[in-house]
Amino acid sequence: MKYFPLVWAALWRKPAEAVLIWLAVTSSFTLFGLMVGLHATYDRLIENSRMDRLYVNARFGNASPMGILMPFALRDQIARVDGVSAVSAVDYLRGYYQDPHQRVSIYAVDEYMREAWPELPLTPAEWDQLLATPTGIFIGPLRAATLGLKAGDRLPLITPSVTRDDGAPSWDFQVLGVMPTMPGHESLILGNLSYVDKSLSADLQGYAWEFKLAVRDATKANEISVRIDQELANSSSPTLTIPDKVAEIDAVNSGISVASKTWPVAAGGIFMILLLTANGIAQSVRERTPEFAVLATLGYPQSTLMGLVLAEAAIPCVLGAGIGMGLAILLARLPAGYLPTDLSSLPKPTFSPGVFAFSLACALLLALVGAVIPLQRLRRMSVIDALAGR
Amino acid sequence: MRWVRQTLVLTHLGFLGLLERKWSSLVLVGSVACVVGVLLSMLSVTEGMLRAYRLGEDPQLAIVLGPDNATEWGHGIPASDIGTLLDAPGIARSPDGHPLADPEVLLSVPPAGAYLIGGPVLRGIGPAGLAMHPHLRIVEGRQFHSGQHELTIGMAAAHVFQLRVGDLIPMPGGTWPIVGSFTDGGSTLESVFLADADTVLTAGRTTGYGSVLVKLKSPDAFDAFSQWVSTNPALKESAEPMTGYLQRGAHQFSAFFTALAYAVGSIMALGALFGTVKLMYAAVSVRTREIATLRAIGYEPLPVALSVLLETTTLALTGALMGSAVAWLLFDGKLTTQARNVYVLSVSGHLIALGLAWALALAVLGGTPPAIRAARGSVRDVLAT
Repeated sequence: MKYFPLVWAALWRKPAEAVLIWLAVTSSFTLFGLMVGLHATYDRLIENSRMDRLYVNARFGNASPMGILMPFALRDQIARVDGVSAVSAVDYLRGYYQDPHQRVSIYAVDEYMREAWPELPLTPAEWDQLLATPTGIFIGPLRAATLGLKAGDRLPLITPSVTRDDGAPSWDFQVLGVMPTMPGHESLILGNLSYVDKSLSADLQGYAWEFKLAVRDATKANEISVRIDQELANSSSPTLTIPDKVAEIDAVNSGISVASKTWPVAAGGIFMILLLTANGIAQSVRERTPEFAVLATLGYPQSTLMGLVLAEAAIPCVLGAGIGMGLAILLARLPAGYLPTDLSSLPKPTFSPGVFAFSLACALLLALVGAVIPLQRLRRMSVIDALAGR
Repeated sequence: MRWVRQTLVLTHLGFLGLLERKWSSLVLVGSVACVVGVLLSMLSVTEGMLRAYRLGEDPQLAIVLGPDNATEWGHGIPASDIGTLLDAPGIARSPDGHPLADPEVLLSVPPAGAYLIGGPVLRGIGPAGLAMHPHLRIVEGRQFHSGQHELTIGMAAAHVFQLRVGDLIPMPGGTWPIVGSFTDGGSTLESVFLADADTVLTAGRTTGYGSVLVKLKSPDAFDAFSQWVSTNPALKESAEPMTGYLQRGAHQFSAFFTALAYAVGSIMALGALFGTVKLMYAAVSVRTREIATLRAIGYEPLPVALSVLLETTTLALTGALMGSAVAWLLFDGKLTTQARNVYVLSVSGHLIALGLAWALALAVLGGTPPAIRAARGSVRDVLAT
């Protein structure tokens, strides 16, 4: 602590340059924080998805005009496949609420979903309530917030592409409750398959949009998915079975993969700052060599001098990292309306303690690497030459 | 004239001193290289994508889409409508007199191996369609035969998804063999399977086509053609120039990533900007005495400021060229799959020019404050110390 005035004076030797370096470090760490946070989000999505939960889609989903070719009867056939512990049929009712741009979909499930996807955040009592209330829905927290709905509200859903058997213009759903957070599924709305199916026009009834299934052994998931598809390959409705985790990995890496770009970008930003910091410290040490020579003459051990240089390097880095991360959090919290609309599909970065610790570690490493060459010079310093100003 | 000469002398002196300040100069070059390198690497994705889409652009082509359908995915065009559509005015004819209009259909055909979700899309196409792709060349095997359960594969798709001539592809109602592979001058067609449209329709138990590709006699024929289609009481379809359709599709996939590249590039550039100001302040302060001496013998402030800006610009442009070179070496010509299409990443001349423009902007913004400080320094104060 007694060296603090010395370090402080050294930092403010050239205030303009000190502030500029610190600003450069801060903006780079803002970018770094956003990239690391984004990467953490993608990692969490993959981590939270499970290998022992699979879903079955129609293999040639777009072949028929209806887009669906899987009769409910397939459920029993899939359930008989060795290793499958539960299968649930799902329909997906797509429409909008109030405004055609406010799209809302109901994930309509049957009673087998309790076992097929036990991670769904409903209590046994809530499951009973849902299955006993034909028009009942449970709504994900994010979707509840965006639609401004709470338990007891009604959700009239208009479905332009699907007609009801009774000719009614809309579906009158009743919000039974808001579900707690389930990472990656905050916008899910659970409804009743039997009600949705029976209300559809007769030609649309009896088909599942998806089957959701659980397997006993996660390590056999790939094998089981191949077996299901093989078994149904020559049926009238060939299937495509995919483990949730595989689908999540694919989703993260497909489209224009942002996930694969986060590390290179973060590295580019850090490397730039490394150049700037290293240069700044080297310049400072070079210009202050006589100062260090005086300290050495007064008996300061070399380790103390090195500590002073390191502290001088670390302070702007750590300060820049801290404030840069703060800015990154603020940027990530910006309401979607303030972001360019083209970027609205970007997921929110995650700022976990791990992300902070990683950034801090990078800042310290940056200071250390940046100080290597100046430290070398300091170690080789000849006190007599330095004092003589040579 | 005098200040031009003075600027040149000052710039020359500045460059002579660069060796003295080699590390800080290299840092400036390196920082700009990082910004431009990251920006161009990211943009190479969308550049390659847009280039592939542009290859399909032909002002004589038009696309007819089904009702309520903005894309070719779908089955909104019943086979019975095709005969009516062929009567539309302005459709060009092949040398043997057939109208150049091709009903097409898209089908998602995931390859065998259930958990491999990625795979090429199948485009059902007819003889007129093949005639409308003049660059299409069979590389291995042969073209598919009409009415046969077989398909061919684009080279890009074959490469990325590791499919070969002879492989069997699961299709509705059984497997179809790949009988050939083709190139099409780098267009997006190289990312798909091709098969006979009518055979695909029958196998998929599908009732309608997704689109009709039409070659018009001239680009001017589009208005009359479109008008005829939309006002014909027997048809519900609508026509769109192919160029506009492709641009819409390209924008849909590229807009997000382009915006992301610019957002990332801007934050990095901000960091580099602060760095540039700092480095040039330092450079100017090292030269304080030199500049003051020159000022004392009659050099004016403007040439001093200009020489600092010129030096900053030269360093930044060098950095931009280095960054472009790295991006080009790492990414240009590499294949990538995005949204089920295969694209060749491209660090084009246009992108490199963009990188140079960013560097120039950085140099001017970052070099101006130090340039002003250099020009303003009091000659007497400096020389008195």
